[in-house]
Amino acid sequence: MQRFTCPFCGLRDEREFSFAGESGKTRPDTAAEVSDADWSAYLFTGTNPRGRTDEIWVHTPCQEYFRMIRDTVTMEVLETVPLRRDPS
Amino acid sequence: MTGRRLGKGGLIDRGRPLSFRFDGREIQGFAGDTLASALVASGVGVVARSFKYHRPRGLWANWAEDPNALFDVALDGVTRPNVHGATTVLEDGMELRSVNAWPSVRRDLKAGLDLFHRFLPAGFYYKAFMWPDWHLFEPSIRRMAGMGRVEPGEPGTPALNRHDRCDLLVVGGGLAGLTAARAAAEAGQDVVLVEDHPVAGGALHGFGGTVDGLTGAEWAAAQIAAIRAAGGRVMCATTATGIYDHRLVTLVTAAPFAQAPRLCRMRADRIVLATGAVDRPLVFDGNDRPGVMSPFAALDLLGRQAVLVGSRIALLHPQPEPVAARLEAAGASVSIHDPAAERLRVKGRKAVTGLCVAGCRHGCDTILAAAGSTPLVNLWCHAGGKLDWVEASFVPGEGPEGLSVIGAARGTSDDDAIREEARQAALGAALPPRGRPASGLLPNPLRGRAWVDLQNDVTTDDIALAARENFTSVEHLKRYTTLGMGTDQGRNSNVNGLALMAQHLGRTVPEVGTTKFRPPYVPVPLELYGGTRTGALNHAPKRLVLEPQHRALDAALGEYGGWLRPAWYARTEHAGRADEAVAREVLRTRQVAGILDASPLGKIEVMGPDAGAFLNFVYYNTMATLEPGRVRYGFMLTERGAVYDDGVLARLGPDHFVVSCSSSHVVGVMQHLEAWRQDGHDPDRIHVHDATQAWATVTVTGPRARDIVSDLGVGVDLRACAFPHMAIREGRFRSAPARVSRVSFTGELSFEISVPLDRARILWSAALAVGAPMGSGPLGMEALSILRAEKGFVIIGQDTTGDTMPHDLGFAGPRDRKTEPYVGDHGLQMEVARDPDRLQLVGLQVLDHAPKLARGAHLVRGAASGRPVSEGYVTSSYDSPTLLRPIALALLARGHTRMGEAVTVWHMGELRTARVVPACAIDPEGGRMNA
Amino acid sequence: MRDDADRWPAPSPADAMVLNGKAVSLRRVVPARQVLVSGERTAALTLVDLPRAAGWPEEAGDPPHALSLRRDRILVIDGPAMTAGWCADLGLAVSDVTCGLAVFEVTGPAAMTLLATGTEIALSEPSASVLRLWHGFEVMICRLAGDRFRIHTGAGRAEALWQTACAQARLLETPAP
Repeated sequence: MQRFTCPFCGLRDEREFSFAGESGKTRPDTAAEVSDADWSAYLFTGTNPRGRTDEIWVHTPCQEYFRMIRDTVTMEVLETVPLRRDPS
Repeated sequence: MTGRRLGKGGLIDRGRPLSFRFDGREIQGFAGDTLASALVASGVGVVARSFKYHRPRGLWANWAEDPNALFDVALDGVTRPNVHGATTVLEDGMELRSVNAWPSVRRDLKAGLDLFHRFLPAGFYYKAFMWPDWHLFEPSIRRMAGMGRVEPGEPGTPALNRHDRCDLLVVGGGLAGLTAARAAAEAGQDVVLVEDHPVAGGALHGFGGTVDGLTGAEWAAAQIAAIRAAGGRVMCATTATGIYDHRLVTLVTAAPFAQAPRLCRMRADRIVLATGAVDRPLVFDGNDRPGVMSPFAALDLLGRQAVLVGSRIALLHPQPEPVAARLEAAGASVSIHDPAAERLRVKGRKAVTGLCVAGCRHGCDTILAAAGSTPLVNLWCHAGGKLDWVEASFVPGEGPEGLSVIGAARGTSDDDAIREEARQAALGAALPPRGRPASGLLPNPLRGRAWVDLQNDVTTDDIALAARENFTSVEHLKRYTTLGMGTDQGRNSNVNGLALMAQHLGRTVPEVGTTKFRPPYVPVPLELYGGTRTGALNHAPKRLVLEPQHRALDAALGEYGGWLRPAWYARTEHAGRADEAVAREVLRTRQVAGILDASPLGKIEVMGPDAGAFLNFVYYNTMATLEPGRVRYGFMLTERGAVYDDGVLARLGPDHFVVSCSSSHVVGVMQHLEAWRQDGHDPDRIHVHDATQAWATVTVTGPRARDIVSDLGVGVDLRACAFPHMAIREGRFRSAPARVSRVSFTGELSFEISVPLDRARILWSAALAVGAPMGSGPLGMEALSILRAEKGFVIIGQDTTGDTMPHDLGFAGPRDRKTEPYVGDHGLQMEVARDPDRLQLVGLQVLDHAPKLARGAHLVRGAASGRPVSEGYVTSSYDSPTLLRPIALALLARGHTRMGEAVTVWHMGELRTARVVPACAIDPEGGRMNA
Repeated sequence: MRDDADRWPAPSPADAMVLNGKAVSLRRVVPARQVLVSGERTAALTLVDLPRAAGWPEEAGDPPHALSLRRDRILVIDGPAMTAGWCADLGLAVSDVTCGLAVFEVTGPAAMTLLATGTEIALSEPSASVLRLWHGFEVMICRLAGDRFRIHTGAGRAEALWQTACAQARLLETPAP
């Protein structure tokens, strides 16, 4: 059972966390023209790498969303990065 | 019938005799016995019948690796099936029944199956019993294949589950583990030592001899005392059943029979495995007969339970002298034979009578046979450790950080070397290089019936069969023959099976490979993981603060959206005719008023200067223009454009909104709002509080609703001119804040009154009391379903699918006109959203006097051709007490353009006709709601 | 149409939620006021006139006290009366959830062991937030002082959490084999 680090709450076990998507996805500006291909890629396409992966996770008790870089083969957690630019 | 108890020695307490029964026969044992040791001590030779062939079986090993001695056990009203005899502590009064034999293990009716063994090899069920139909044979084969009986209706016992942590976890309390744990504890580490036997010491009890001048038992006790004195923790009767990610180890502590075992999830910074090794069985003709045992098991029975397994013992072992000496010292006569000899064969049927070696018969009552040693590396493999093939066994190779293996589990057999490894491992230092493990024999294919997996009745012939039929990969070998799928998880059979397959293929054992070891290391009862989540605590719904009031009104209760809510009232009065109770509530609401406990409705407060713009993005409808004091119905969509939730949004002030979503979607909506708040908006300018459970809501709905609410004293001007439909007002009720909304799910004049939970009872009672003389009464969920269906109001997930979009429900405005971005906007413009054949919400009317339609019935075209094609289906269907006829809602392709059309309804092969009508069947102008 | 009324035992009234044991004792308590305040931490603490918001395992002390939930949210127990809604001057959002959270006190030599039945929690592992998932329930677990702790959970879950805590507490009273 893995343990992850919420940027605010600290180390907690994986039952308190939920995967929220791959990092780096930005919602296309729907006020402008968006091709169906770009829209589908935003919703559905992922790289799903073997090894180092860059993901968004949420710590469900406090609902903080954050970025976690981890290794899908070794299960190592490499880095935890808050989403906020300047966390208090 | 060869085992007997010695007069002295062992770890048993002869001052505490225990008695039990096995297949009705009364047997004596002592405190400190297991079920298996007590049976062997009493001379019981046959303890079970094998799984497939029903051959008589005796005890093979004295701990978890024994595959044979399984029993159904009853004690004090608790029964458990398939109890493992060699690891279960004996308690007075236990009733044991054999699991795969009838009427008893000594005389089993199905023993005749063994005569047909040629027709029952591995995988026979893929080939035989196929014609004319496998299902004809399936019930009988399933009945015969079962082992053990589960008593239906027996509740599980609650299991303690706890979490703990330590610096160093040492698994195994033998020579290696005790040495390591003591060294680490005395060096100041927070150490936990777990030992699966009730008494620590491991192989020391069996091998006899002394350590530092003490007997094994004395030495072990001294180490435990020293570990505890240094602050370490020692848990006996505790098995490490699995190692998981980030060094979490599950520890299962045995409990008295009537209780569930206890689970501890232990997080360790470092783990040392000192799990030892077991004998690898020798594969030879007749090696499954009762009386053929593991040599170490015989020593262990002697050392722990003072049981001598036989008087005339034949010993086959790569290093036989120490074993023979120990047994002779205990009083047996031992003959030593070469395990590599040609043509070894067992004589005897229900007991060993002799051993044939190359044609020469030697009389004996017990055969102790091993081909080598198997290090116990399961936990190592769980954690991702690799195995090296050295000599004739798999030993730990490369592995993850923070995990090391010492002692016999590493292949080390010399006591001094073991203690040195242990001290190094305790300090986290590199271990001395691995010594050479003892050599062993690998099996060859042979003539005669020789067993490789005792529990699954897999013989050398089955492995040859698998090779012939090309199931040669190790994973296929396992699954085709079922080798290694028993409670020992292949500890006894894997290496022998791989070696035989390797012979057939002309390869080496590592080239054939190994299967994956998975937790749990030993079987554990399911109730262990259930903890206390049994019965009413399994998926318990949320409870209303007014539940006692509903029960006082004799409400039928049901789970709706995760809450236990009143389905209808006066259930006893309407026993067997609940639909009449429901109809009464519907009519009462339409004619006077209904009082509904609407507390589970979501009340999510969204506050801040950017709240309005944020909600405008989250909702399909334009919300930025909602004025304070007003309420607007809206949809939340998925990004694909499908409706996720419908509900109302109320604006209390410029920076204060209340999202009232469906009760079952509160968690989902909260997560949706938080995700967009933090990733896409400025979280300092929007805050989202879930206040759902802080407020109770009592809804008064019906033509007399205003009269009732005026008498409750909520401090709000209720006149229609001051308080229009779809508005919200803040008032006070009994010195507490109150919020009153005019929102209607029934189509009648409605006031939703929300107060803090501690005012709920007073509000509810007052509403009922004021309304009763007028003829109003409580309103349950079933009646509410009918009231809203009469108005064509949808229930998301019932009248919508995962694809239904707002314009399918008749709400096309924002799709056509809203310009600001919102969740789902692009999805609503894609090709699939423009498909003219989309399913659209309609009502359906049956022909005169016809019964109501079946919910889920399909609306079809082409019925006349005999190949009907579905164009939609009935989503809701009720008998309307208000209209005195059936009503229905449906999703129908192009439904909005087919008003008045007759459609064919198909249900379970029957065809009917219905007419497409507007979804709203009552008061389409909404005059009643807007009063 | 299902009637499951007989499947569910009637819930225990709040004042009957008391379990006294040698290893651990449990009882429901009803704070006078519980208020969520969201926004910048210093501003929130100034508004409620409290020095700090306790995380884990800091001793919060007897109420009035504030508990740290998120980087931008605290729960204030038995604090001053406040206007609910958006406070524009301070940039704070306030919601009174007094009745919305059921509160239980856990005391005794095995109190920490009881808490550790539901999640990985230890006095040696600090956390800035008291929010946890305990036996699957969303809760706040705080330490008042010594071996006195409190668990807060949604009012709708009070009955199920009480039954779960009692079941585990009873198992702790039975000595380990």
